[in-house]
Amino acid sequence: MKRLQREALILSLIENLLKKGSWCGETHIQKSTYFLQELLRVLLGFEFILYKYGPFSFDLSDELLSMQGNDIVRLMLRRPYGPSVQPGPMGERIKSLYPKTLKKYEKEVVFVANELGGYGVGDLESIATALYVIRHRSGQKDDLHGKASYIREIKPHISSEQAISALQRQKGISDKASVLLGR
Amino acid sequence: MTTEIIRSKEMQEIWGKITPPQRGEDIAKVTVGPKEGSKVGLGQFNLWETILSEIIIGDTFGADRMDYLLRDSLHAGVAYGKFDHYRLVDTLRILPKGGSAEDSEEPTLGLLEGGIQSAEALLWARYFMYSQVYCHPVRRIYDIHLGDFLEKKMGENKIPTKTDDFLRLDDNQVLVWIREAASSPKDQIRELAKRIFERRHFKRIYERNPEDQETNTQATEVIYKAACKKFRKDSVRYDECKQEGGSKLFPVQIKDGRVLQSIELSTTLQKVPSVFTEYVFVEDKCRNEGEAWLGAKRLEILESRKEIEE
Repeated sequence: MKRLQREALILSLIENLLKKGSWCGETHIQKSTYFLQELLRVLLGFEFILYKYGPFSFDLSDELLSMQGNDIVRLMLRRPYGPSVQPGPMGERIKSLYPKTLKKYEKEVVFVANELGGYGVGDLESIATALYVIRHRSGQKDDLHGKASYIREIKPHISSEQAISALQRQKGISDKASVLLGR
Repeated sequence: MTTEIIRSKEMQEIWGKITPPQRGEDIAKVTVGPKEGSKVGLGQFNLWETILSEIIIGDTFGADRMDYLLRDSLHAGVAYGKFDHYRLVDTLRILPKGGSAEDSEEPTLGLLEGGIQSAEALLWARYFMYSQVYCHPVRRIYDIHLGDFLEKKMGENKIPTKTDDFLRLDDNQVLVWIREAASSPKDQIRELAKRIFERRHFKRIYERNPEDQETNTQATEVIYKAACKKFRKDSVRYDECKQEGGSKLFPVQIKDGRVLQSIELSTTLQKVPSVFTEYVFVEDKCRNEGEAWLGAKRLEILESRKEIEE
């Protein structure tokens, strides 16, 4: 996928997240893009690692900075949380260049925004971590509590209850995604 | 390669002699960081390893980034890479990433309020160094010429991946190769060497600019493709230079103990631009023709090659 094509999709995700009432700070975009790429299989080409509080892509972070520099998005100061990312003056122009791409991935983008747009950063961090663990321990036969223990092991700041809840919510989203993708 | 060198036998001996003795794996983790570490088998980073690596190589306040700005500024003979790093380092703190209790509590590097002017100076210094040194067209074209030369000289092997071979490939070795190739009449890579040795570098005929971006968001790319048709492809080069990292967003602890976001406290931080330049270069002998051609055809090229979604 070309850089501008990918940026048009990220912008579309941002707009859909905002429509769903998301605060849309960088964390919201990072975790939603992780779902879009890894669960919905939209090949954006970002490399995610398990960072301090969940999956994170340095490439995506750089891309968002570049999008700010090119006026495709801008930071808006709002309270009480950190700044949110909003479409910028060049946003419509970039989207108008890639109508087929936006149409092709519309249902995936809307799905992610619908499922994750209502969550705050704490929940997003733990749900995205749950997806990361599931994807990277697919060979393991552990049950829900086993997976939760593993999450606690690698991310001790997440409590057992939070880990179990995150795994359950992640499974709910994954099941719906399977239906959407016809798997 | 960094990890290989840190793990090498010679370096392990040095780490072992430090008091208290250090382990190569720990040093590799903090100097390579989680992004690259995942590719070279350094395993999962815990929170403290991640923060320690952020202190060393982090995008915004990493010691390495601060050091190279000051060092490059000194050696390039320019003043605008300087900032008050003493004040900045004194005010660094580990703070929750988000401002409020409901926001992210992820620990990250931030500042005490008193350090914010030093951070402004750092981010402006980085912008100036990128726009006037790191992305300078002559510096960029020499990178390309050196890459072309090494690729031809080293053939399939390119840059060695074994530590000993890599360490032998130093500046002196490469300079000798360039000098030998430039003075050898039969050498196939003589022309590539002479571009560097005799300062016959390609010249910039086009640079990304806002007006042309308005007309065509891929202006530089379409001009590059048109130039390749007008001249021989190997007489034209395209280059992109983008400032990486250097987020303007970081937590700041104000005097009453609350943590706010940097751009809430600093209007100048909101305005620090991010550098993104693109160039089209042509061979020295094509420069005048290239400039005249582009002067006459620029708008036509931009209009006729509008972006098409594939």
